[in-house]
Amino acid sequence: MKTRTAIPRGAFALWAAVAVMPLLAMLWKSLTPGGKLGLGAYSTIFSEPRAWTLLGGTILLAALTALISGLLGLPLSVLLARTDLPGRGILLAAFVLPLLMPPVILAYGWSELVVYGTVLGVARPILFGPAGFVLVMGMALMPVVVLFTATALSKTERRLEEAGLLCAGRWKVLRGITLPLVLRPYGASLLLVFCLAIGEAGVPIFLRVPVFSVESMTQFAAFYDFGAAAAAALPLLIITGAAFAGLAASGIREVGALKPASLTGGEPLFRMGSSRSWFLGGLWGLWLVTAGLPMGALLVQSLEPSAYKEALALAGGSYLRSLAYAAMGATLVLVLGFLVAHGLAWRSLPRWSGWLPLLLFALPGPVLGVGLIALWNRPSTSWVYGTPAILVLGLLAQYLVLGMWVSQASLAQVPRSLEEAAAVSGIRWGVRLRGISLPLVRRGLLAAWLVAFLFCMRDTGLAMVVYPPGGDPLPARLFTLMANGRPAVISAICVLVLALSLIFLAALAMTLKGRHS
Amino acid sequence: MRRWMQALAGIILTVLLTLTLGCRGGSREVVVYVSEDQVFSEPILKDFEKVTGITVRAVFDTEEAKSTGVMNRLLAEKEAPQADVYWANELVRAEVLKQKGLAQPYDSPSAEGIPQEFRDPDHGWTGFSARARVLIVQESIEPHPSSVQAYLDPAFKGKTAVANPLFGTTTAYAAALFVLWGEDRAKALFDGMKANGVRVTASNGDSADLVASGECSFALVDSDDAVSREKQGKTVVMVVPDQGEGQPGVFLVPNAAVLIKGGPHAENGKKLVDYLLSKETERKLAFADCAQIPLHAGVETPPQVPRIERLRPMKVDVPRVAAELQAIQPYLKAWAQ
Repeated sequence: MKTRTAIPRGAFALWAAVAVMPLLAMLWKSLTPGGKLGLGAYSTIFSEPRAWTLLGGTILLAALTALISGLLGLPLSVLLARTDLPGRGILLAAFVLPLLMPPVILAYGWSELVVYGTVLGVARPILFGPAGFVLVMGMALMPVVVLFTATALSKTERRLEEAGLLCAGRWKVLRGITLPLVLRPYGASLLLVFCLAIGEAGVPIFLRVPVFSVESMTQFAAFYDFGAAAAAALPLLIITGAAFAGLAASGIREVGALKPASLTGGEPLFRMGSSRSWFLGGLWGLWLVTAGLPMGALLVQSLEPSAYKEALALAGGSYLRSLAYAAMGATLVLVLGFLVAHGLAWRSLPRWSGWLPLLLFALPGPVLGVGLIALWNRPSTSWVYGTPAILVLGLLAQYLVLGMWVSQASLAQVPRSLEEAAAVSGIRWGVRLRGISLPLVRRGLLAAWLVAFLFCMRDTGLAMVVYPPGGDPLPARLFTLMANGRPAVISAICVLVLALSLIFLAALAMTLKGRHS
Repeated sequence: MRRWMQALAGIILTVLLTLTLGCRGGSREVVVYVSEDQVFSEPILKDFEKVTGITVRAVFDTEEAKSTGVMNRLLAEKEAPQADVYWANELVRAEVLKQKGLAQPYDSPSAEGIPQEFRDPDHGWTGFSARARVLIVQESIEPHPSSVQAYLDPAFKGKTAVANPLFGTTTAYAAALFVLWGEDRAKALFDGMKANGVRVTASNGDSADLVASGECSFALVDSDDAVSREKQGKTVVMVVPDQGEGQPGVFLVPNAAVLIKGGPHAENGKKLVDYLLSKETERKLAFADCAQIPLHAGVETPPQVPRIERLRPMKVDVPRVAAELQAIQPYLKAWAQ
């Protein structure tokens, strides 16, 4: 086998072993309750009507979350990608910010706003309920819709629009030409939001909303049966798989179609003229309501003497550990993601190998965590299970798609003829990679690393289940401190997470700007 | 660029190795899984480190996540235990672990003096430092309600609160009443509460805030929630309910220490259990913000923390309550909706 084919395949196989084996281990345990092959674990769950009700309720909540994100995200994407509003880059960054931190921080911010005894106190029962879940998750995941849709809008075929404008108004062109062109990426983003909402653990636990991923584990905790717990996780795996099968069937043939690009450049479809200030005010108002208020509440509450000192004393170690875990996770994601992307670009990997990482990305973190425990918790592998390696492996399994996507986007900009010419000259694959592709995509790779780093930093669902004793990362510590911790201190920790996200977002923006220029 | 990448890779590898080695087992360490709130338990564990020189590696749980957190993890790790000790925040959880065969019987010398009803006869777990289910009452309400039966008083219609009984100590309290009173009488109380317009909140803290803000007259909460509002200067008082003859008594929610069977550092685990059950730890937890009631008689407490010898606790059959906890879930779920 040629090196060009063998190394990407090896990289993909390595990742698949890390990511898929835990799921297979979980499946095996669910099929062998008490050590004997059988479907008892499944019949236990699905004979209970409440499980079906709960599953239906969870699907409904996730669908409503996708609906809210979609309804707000589509017009926002048009305004950010196809108008001449000033400061669209900053607006985009502001709207993306909630995606870069654990959603539970937004939930906590809201809970600090709607306090009993204040005017907003009447909203507290709403926040701590299904409506609160939909609102918080809708706001937290709306950036997914914006990123996908705005990217697609920025790449739409301008000549079609120009032809349309010859005989119709701009609104009609938007409805009849532009939006239909981005319907598939838009739909894909809604599916992704749906899956991410179904898999979220932190927010429903904090808001005490019964959802399947959390409730199923609750139900079996007292009657412990790992097989049953694993069986309970299977519907989520099936729903996620079905969602992505739908995505594949929707006609998006390449994950690369979702790749990031310059969202705010290009010829605007709408010139806002004198309405600019109104739209700008409206957009910032929307940001304020969806993200600014909870973040502002955290900032205000953290401004108490000694709050930051106490926050660092309580969570400083976790902060550093999170940085280290995220750096390691992001590096592995980058290396393997790049190799897989390269394999996909050169067709040495089949197309489905681009979808599998996306499926893992959308898989609920606790489900993957249960699988990791099933696979690695053995005396012979305690050197993995009892150390940060277990968490880093989980991060690699879940976030490979990020390194793969951004690498794909970068590689797409490198003329293939360069590597082909070098190959004809007899230069080896490794040398071609080091000498041609890597230097040309280095900024893209840095962007990929930053994106992966941010997602590894914000991970809560996986971290809560598998962090090693004495090695909790920041999101897990934040979550544990929320129970009876001093609000000012918790807010200060949230602000520190926010600050880190801002720094990395700025670095990412600078990297992408340099890349586009 | 290449040098930069190599340097980055080197740094990451170093950090990985440091972290891996730093988190690996050693003879001078103990691994504890903790369901008690981290803000209260971590200082105790740090004190243990100072006193013994044994490094504590902890996995913490939260009030919100405890049903999916370390309890699940302990059970998931049954075949290859990673933990030496489980610090439960309720006896019921400790009892479930015992029933699942995870508890290593250990009769700690520090348990002497703790009343028998808070100790497993088989030494699978031992209770210490308890919260109590108390009424937080607006100071201006006269006379102060003194029993949970006050929830049924028409004078308080729509002016009481209780945390969602699907979670936390409210669930355990409900299960204890079902065991003590039987299904009919317990359901009569809960149904009556609902008919009298009780507000169901997300947590005990929320219930306490409703009373502190004047929106509700009283609520059944954990003693630490009541004490913290008193400390904040709110015009509320804490009432220990049902202390009269013929009344059920106050429901205590002790912590429990469980030595895990097959844990990697059994001897250090015993030392930690001894430390947790000691009078000194109980004194510290009484003076901490959690304001927990020591189960050893005669331990010094601050004025707002009642002493065990002056309380009439509810008689609780822990194994039956553990079983009842699951049996009443459908009723509680329907009740809470």
